[in-house]
Amino acid sequence: MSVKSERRALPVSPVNIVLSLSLVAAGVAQAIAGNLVLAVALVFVAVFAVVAARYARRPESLDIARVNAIEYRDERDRAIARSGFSVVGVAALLLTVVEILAVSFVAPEYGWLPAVQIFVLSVVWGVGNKMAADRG
Amino acid sequence: MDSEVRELRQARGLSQAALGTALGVSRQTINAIETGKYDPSLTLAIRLSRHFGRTVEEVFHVSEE
Repeated sequence: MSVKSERRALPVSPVNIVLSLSLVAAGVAQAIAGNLVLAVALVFVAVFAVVAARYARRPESLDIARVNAIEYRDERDRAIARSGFSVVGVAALLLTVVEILAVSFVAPEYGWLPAVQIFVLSVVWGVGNKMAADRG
Repeated sequence: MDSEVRELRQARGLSQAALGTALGVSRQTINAIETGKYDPSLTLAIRLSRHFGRTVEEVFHVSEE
């Protein structure tokens, strides 16, 4: 039995590094394509994500700030995040069902799009359940 | 789950933040355990108990109901 320690060697969490670098890469691609407004917006969001993550890492930061910034400090932060993301998952599935109904009436030719979406969500759900069960 | 964490911490003159730092958890987590809003993992419960030189049963109380 071991205690999971946080990797504090990195300036922000690995998730935030991937997120911010992806946003910057998308911003550069948009700039090259000539969409300067969208490019600036994407880079701004990337900078905001890093600033929010650094702010959440302060010793006196609130739990909700850490969870919202994906900068978990301990097991309770991760438990809060799991609960929050489970709500997101249920909302995504329900909204996709609503989307299927709406698209079927408004634009039936695009009915495959929400169908693929709910299929992918269901696969992710199943994989998530399996991983959780395997971890005990 | 009820616990003796607050009493043990205060008896040693520790703040919630200081205890959290010693155990590698946040001040809010210590507060949530003390107020019974959060049940710690078995690992954290054991580490908390060891920190105070007590057994888990002495620190945490589970009702029979």
